[in-house]
Amino acid sequence: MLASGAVAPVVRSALALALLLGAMRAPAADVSVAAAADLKFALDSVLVDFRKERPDLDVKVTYGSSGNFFSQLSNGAPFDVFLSADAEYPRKLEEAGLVLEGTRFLYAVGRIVLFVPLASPLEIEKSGIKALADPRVRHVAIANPRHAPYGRAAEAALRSLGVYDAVKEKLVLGENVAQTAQFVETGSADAGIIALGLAVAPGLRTTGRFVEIPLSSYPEIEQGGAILRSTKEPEAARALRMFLLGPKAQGTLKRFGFFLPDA
Amino acid sequence: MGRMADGLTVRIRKTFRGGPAFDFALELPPAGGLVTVLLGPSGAGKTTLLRCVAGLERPDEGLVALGDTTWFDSVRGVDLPPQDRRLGFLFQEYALFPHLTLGANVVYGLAGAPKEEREKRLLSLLALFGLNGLEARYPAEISGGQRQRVALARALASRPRLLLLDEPLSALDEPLRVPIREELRRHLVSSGIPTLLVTHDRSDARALGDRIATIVDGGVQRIGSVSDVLETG
Amino acid sequence: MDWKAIGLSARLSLLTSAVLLVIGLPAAYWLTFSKRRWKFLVEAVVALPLVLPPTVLGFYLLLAMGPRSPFGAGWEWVTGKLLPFSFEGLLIASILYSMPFAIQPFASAFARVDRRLIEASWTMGVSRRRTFLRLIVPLSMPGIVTGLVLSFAHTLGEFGVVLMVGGNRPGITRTVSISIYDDVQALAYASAARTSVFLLAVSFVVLAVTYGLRRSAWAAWPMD
Repeated sequence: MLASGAVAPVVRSALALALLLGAMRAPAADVSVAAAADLKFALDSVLVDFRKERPDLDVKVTYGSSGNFFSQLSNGAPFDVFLSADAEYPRKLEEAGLVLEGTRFLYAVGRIVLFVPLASPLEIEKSGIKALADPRVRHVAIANPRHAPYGRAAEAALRSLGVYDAVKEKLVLGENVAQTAQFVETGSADAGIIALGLAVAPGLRTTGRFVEIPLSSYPEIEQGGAILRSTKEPEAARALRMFLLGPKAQGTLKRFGFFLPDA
Repeated sequence: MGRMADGLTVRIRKTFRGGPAFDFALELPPAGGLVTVLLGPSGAGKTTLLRCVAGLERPDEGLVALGDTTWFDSVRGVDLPPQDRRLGFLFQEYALFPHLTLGANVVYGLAGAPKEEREKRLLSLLALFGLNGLEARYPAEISGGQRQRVALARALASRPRLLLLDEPLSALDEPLRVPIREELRRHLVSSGIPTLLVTHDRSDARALGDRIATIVDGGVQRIGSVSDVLETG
Repeated sequence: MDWKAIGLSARLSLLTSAVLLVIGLPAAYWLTFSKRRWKFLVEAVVALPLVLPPTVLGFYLLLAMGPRSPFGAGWEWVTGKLLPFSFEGLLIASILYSMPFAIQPFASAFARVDRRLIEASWTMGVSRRRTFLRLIVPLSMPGIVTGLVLSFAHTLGEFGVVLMVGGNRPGITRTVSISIYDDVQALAYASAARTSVFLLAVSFVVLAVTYGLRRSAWAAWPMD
């Protein structure tokens, strides 16, 4: 039997060792990501798989408008990775020297759809975007073309398909594509043009119907990303980037309506 | 003036939540005197009684009537608001309206009357109370004694059936009290309007009243002529 | 400079203050003089916009104004138009958002009027309504002006609520704060700066003039 005086120090050391080992197993790095609003469901799903592969990394995502993030990042906002809804913003950041050498990448191609509430009388399956000219349509929601890539695509599609003039007065602008979807989902807008990635997501899938807008009517929505030069976790950020470009993530993205960049 | 004075009947009870309880019974027939003084120490309930007569406080139960007009009757569910009781009330600190001239203060209650009538009434009141030339001044600009006169003129302007005065002299400086008191007595008598006056000062009571009701501990102790109550009380 | 947005914001703020004057005075009167025991509940509701994040207010307003809600559907039935994304919808949102900034100063001013003055008015045969107009309102002028100016300024600066319910329609719901935000988003910093400075200057002048007038005109009555 150990003398009682020797037990306590042994127990204490054992506890300390266990805590140390436990601490080593906890996330070693935080990766903060600024991601476009349309990625919400897709990216959340991708990250579930990523966390299984790299449990030592704690990924925190902030979703919002790409234009908004661009301004913030230009002014030094402390994100590690930027996933934009277009390719322009990352390119501009690179020009401004804010991107880590050679880490700008293309991760998906987005698509826009015409989205209406489930009970809508509009026959979008038949007439597609021309249904918007119907006088029963009083408000059409799109993301703000001035700073949201999906809004720009929506506006381009409206113009090239010849409905812009009929729809101009009815346009209602969402701050980002997620708010745009909310306008339609609540019934405040009769129809909207949103990202396919949002329309197929669990939240909206059951509340509305959609049709794809012909790809030829709007410029390709190349979704680009970049690692910020100011990142404190370059290794972790690179790991995330690599995962996003890998087959598992690309498969998930496709399921959520984001197509692969053509090889 | 020239109307038969009406008798005032007050039989009321009121208890303030968590506070004092009052039980008053007063019969004031005109024959007993024009000016009735409610005399008593502070806290006895004199002001509460006055306010209940005016309709500014509501008794828990009882009756308040002037002549054959019922102002409050808890049994029949009558409770006339002060607006409908045709009385004049003089507050302890006069309550003159600071944003109006003295003239506008005095005729404030006559807004329904035609303009000429208002002007005539104002002029006669100004003359009566020695306020000529002051009608364009504001309450902040005149003396305490003048304010008291304006307040009295204002209370009398609409020819009330009953006049209620709450400690009319307490806001005045000592040297002014006696002359103003005599002047007040003259005005009350010449108006011919039944008056209820609250004070805690015995000499004021003697100088101003025809009849005195002593109020002690939330009730009426005795009523009688001035000489009766003060000589023997 | 986005004159359309500036004009829209000015119109919205003026109308909001005007409506709040009309509905705020009776509401403040009730809050000050009513003896109902559930008054505290009403006071809490009136104060809600002070503590709620504007986006929360905007979120619920959008739902309440939409064609699926009873209020929104009723509106559509009466006027034939939709409430969300309209100027009227924004006006209603602004009225609710700025409500405490009008009602609270009104009520404080009424509460400060000497009770005995009010009673004196009653004893002279003047009805409660006329007493309110001839006595309480004139004596509460500084508080009433404060309420008007605050609700005007507060509406002018409104952003979160407009973002949630406005839909950013030029000339209809694109207020000056949205316009500045849009400029910044689109990296048009010079334009944002111009509009901002203009708004700052105008706001400052309006407030300074109002408080300056208050000083000389209304502070005149020494309390007895």
